[in-house]
Amino acid sequence: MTSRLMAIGTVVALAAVIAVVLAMPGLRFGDTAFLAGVAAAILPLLIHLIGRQRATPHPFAAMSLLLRAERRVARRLEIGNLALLTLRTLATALIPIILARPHAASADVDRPPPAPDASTVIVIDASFSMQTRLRGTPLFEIARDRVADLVREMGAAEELAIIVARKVPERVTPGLTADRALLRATAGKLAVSSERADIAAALSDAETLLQGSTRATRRVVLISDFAGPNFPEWRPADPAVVLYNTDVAKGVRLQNRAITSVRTQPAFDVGANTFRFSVAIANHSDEPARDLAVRLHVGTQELSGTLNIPPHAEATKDFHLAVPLGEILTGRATIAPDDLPIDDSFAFVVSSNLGPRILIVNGAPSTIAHRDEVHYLTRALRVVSTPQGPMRTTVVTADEPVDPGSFDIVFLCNVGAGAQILGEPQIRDLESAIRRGTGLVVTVGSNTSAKTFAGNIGRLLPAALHTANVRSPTTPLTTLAPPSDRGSTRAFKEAAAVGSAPPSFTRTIVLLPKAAPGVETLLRFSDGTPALVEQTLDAGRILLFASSIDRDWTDLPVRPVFAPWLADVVEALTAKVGVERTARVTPGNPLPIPRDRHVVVTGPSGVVETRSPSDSRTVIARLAGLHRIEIRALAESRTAKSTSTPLAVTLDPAESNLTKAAVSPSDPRGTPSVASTDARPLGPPLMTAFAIALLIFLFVEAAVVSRR
Amino acid sequence: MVTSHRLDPDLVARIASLSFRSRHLIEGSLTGLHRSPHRGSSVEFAEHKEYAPGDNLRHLDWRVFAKSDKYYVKQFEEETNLRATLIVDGSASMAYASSTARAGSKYDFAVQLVSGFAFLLLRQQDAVGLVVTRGNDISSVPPRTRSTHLRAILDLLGRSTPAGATDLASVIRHRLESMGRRGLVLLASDLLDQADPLPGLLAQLRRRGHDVIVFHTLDPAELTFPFDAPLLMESMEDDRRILVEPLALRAAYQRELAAFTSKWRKWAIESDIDYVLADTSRSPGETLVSFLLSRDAARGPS
Repeated sequence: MTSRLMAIGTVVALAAVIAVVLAMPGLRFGDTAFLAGVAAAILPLLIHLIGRQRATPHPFAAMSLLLRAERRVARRLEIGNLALLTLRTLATALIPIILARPHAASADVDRPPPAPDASTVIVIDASFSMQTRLRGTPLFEIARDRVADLVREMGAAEELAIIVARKVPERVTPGLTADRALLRATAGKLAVSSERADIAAALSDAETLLQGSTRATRRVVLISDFAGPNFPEWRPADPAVVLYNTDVAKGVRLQNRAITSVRTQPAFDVGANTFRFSVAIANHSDEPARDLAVRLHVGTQELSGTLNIPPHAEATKDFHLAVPLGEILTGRATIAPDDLPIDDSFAFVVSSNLGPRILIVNGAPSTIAHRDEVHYLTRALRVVSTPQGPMRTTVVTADEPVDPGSFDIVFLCNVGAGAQILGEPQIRDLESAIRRGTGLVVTVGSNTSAKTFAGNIGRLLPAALHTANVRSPTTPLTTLAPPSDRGSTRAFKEAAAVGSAPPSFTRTIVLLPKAAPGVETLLRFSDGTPALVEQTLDAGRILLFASSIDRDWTDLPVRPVFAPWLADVVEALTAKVGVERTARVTPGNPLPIPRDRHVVVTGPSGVVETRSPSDSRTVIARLAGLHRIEIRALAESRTAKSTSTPLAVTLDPAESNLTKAAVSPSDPRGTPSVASTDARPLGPPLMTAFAIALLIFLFVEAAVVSRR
Repeated sequence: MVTSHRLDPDLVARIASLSFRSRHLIEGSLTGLHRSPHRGSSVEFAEHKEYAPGDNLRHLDWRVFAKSDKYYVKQFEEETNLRATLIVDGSASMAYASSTARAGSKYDFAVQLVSGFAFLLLRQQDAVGLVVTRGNDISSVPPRTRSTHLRAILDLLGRSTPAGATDLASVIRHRLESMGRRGLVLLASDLLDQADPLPGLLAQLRRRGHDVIVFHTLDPAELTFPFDAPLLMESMEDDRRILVEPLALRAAYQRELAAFTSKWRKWAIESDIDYVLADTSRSPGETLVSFLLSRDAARGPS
């Protein structure tokens, strides 16, 4: 084996390869120079073969000794030489591979090469799944380092922009810029969120940003973990824009377990005042979760248990706990922390009040009780009983800060004039609550008019208000027996059946039911005009009553049918009781607070955010956990009360699923590169050090061989 | 034209003042420097023998008679001449010569050594014969004591060139049968590629009373294996060849060589044979003088 010749030849070959490759910055896999560099790896082999052919013949006498010696060391020599040859070949091949910036993961293609005249928008995924730790390092830290690498390696005239992908994408640089100092500073401040990222929106925003660039090369670099079954496969609309996908998880299949929900419901069959707390846990890993410890904290009480969950399945652990009734309780469920600890804890708020919660908005409050709009209503509701318990009634005026979403039924009584008109934000809140299941009952009165309702709450109502129908007390309108056996008018039907006199109405509003799906007239007056019109809106229902519920327009409040009718309405509009209906709020979404109130929000980290009534911005939930929302009453409000309620902001369970998305490795339009996965490329100093170390190794090796 | 080997003047000058005496009893036909198993008329007292009729009365020891009143005759050592057979290995491997060998090839070294030895013996009135083996060709000169016999020896050495593979064992076996009287056998060879019976046959010679000397002639390149560059080593006696990387093989080769020479040296000691590892990087005269002096030193004062 021509060791010394091989060593010298290898060193020369390496020097040549390094010279060629260094002369071509931006060398990439597939480049001709790269292939030539790899091909140079066969130089040691060629030198070896040539060396064999060029061995000088030499007559020698002591051949028998030589042959015996050769036989003795032949095997060792053969293995050693083979290893040496392999090592040299690999070493030679390694140089161009290293200089081509290899990526350690299951890479598809490449990362964007530095381009002197390019516009590049980096989209960094800041969803909470990026908090997953990969061998102890959070993915977002790796992603942030990638951004820093890209900034450091950007071409001389290259311009860069950074967009953080969250619930709402955020441009953290002032457009495309070549200001390296600014970009470096921005990259250093990037922070992960607890939100679910809208990757597609962020990428579209990046493309929008690139539309303003006149550079020939325009690129979008997405740095993400590509986790989640619903990860979008986005493609730029502009064919000139090239997308690079960089998987910071390096192709590793990330494993995770997460608490996805905590549901509560009465369990009086188990014990007095006992509720069942069902903790749902998803196992998004390839391994089953065995004896997974689950803990539940409610108030000062703590329960624990274990659970087995098959791979990629969800299971529920039920806890039974006796809690004091009539209270708002906060709690937390936890499981053993894994690589993504944020979703291993789940905060929740639960009310142990059982009866339906009813909000009555009084549109015409009066200091004289029997003249008050809601006087008869509140009293009738006191006697209405539900199987779940007594109703909890809250009476407010239209200008008071109350979240309608936290009630089962909202009564709007004679609302619609002066200060008692609902603002647009309140109507939006109301609509949102109805869609989630809250029932709405609207009664008209002296404050209501077709005009005020038309552009206001009228869009939610099943019928338009037309004209007032005023009758003399001697010829009032009565109600006809309802044609159908609907729950909310059952009392009227039963009253008619027993011959009870129907209520009389001296004033009504003529309703014009909308020709819309779900709109139905349940009750009519004796003149045939609609008395009660119903409409369903997603999970909720709306009832519009064509008269008032005070004594000025009708005797209904003092009729025997009144209380049973209210009981029917409550029963019909109440979807559930005993279970907190509060809609799930996830980070990145606005907190459900009135827009025109003075609000103080205290987050789980203790950060306090205040918003004045004149401030039109929404308060966005940034972190998961318990928030305390204090809504201070308006100074001019007659009921100057402040309410403080806890609110649990929970993570989006879809983001806990770290299943790797199937992102296409190639662009169907033939764009040169979608793709890279990876990983941290070797920086220039490291590459230089490696090359020097390699050369030193070869020289030392040659010296050792020559002395062998 | 017959080419005759010429004695190296330097060699002659070196050995002019030296003599060679056999370490063992030898049987010669003439009076010489070497001790004979027979009793003779030398001045060297050997032993007393009880007088018997016919014994020469001149050797009667009167002093013993005066003391013991018995007749004893004194016997004396007989000194005789030596009958030496010099065997030179003329195989092709003996033609190997590296650049550091002072006398050329191993064969040249052996020829000079043997010619010098023949010169020395003939000058002592010893009978010297020569056998040169070249493959299957065996050339020989019978032992003679005449000083002019050196010419015949030198002629044969000059005529011979190394060739082929030799079987020294068969040559020794033949000599065993033909050598009647105890004498000297000197072998100059590299001992490479020799059949296993050779050491046994040489030992047998020794057991029959012959004084046996082996000059193991090796080139310095064979001793140190100083090569660096890869070489295609080709055998000088057959068609064996091997591509070697000397740097990787040197240590193993040197171990093999050490084992090879150690085996011969051990055998020589066990068989009471003089074994000299002759490095051809030294001059033949130097090697011969060194051998003769060491032999004299080992024998003690005469």
